[in-house]
Amino acid sequence: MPVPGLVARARLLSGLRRFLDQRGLLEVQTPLLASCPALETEIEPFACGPFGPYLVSSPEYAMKRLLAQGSGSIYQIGSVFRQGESGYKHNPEFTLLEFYLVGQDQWGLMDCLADLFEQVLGWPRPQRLDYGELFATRLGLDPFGFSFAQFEATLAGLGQEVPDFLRDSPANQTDQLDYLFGLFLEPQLGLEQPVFLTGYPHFMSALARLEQDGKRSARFEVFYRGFELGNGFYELKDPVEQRRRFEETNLARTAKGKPAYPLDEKFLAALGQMPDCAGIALGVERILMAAAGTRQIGQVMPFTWDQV
Amino acid sequence: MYSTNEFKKGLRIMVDGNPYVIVENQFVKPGKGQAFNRVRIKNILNGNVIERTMKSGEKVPKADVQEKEMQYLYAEGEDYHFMDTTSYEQIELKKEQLDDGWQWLQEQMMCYVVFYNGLPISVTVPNFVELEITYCEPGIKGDTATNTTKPATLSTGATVQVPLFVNQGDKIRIDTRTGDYMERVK
Repeated sequence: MPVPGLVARARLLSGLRRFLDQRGLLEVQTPLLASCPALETEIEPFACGPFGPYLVSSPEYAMKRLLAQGSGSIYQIGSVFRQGESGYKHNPEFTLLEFYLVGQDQWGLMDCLADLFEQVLGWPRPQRLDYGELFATRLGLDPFGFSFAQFEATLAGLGQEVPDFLRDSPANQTDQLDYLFGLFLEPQLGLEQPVFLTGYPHFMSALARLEQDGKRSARFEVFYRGFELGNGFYELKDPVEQRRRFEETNLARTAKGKPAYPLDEKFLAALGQMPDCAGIALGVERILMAAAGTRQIGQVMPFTWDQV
Repeated sequence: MYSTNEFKKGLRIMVDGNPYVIVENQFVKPGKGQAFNRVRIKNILNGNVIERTMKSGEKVPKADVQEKEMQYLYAEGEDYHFMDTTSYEQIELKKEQLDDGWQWLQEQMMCYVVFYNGLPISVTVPNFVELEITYCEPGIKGDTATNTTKPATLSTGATVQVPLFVNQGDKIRIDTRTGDYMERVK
């Protein structure tokens, strides 16, 4: 990687730390090895042995345990690992900035993030868009309730066919929405200014609270220059509901032929003591890519997966 | 079998019973959702380019396609003859199978012949070749500044655009991927 790229990365890291330190957040370091992987339907951990430990795909569980112990607002900048994620915008090992604001909900978090973009990167204030409205206006589809025929018709309207893997039984509405979103909506998001996309359907939230209406989750994603930078939400702190979601995730994984994983009982036990807070995970490489105006992750990393 | 995780430009795979080469591979993963690979693939037999979307982690068969370095011998009408320089085995390809490649073939040139299921189907010529100009309008001395070009016929029968200062009998270097004149060689 040419020296200017190394300099841009170093400046971003020190800029992020300066901003978060000034806001009173405490920098923490949690282990990169975990006995239970973060449970997600579509994230595959690297296992270091037949039964773990696993390289973390996110520091979320450990950071929430610190919050439950009374750490106050915290942040972490560190490596995370996700098996099989390799492409123009993905590398199996990447750097995540994760932070939690105690006493804030997702709206307060968005305000803080807008300040961060403005002060650290000189970016314009983000625009807020609603997930349901975006699908309705751009694709004429209601993401909260649609049939397979409507999904097929939406793709046909775009001159596309339903790919085989979305016809198979374990594929669900989330997969269909993600497909439409990833191909036809995301590349157009945030071309002028960053976008906070809010109001995701309730069935698309692993660790977020639901809004009062029970229909939408208290979650947002942030996009700039046609790709996602991060995912934030008002954190769920109900251990019973969290356990139910984990079990649902394991069922979904099994249905897709993937291994189920043990639940992280230490995390579940701590969740009840966690204060109200909002948290976000941002891809540091994605931020560098947006700042540099590139869509290639290889342009902002010293070495990508295929170079090590 | 190849997993989509191994996909990259140039990989040869079977799709719907036909051999394809990957032209472009895009890994798409929205948020925490299902990942998929969107690929543009070119049919090795007829050159048609299509788009396909596959679930990440899906496995596809390898196309039984091999490349062998062979020497070009001679052309006889529409038939082009090549030889394996270790086994002395000879094969022939029709002019239409060579695409534009026939334009750059010189006797004894080493090329890559592509085989599918054991049968030769196409030839990859070197990226750069040096060929003699057998006919062009006389050169204009000193004119090295303008971008004006003139047609020149090569020893192979191909026609390329060359700068005005180039003469009949000159040897020139050509980029076979674009068919562009590169420079005059001494």
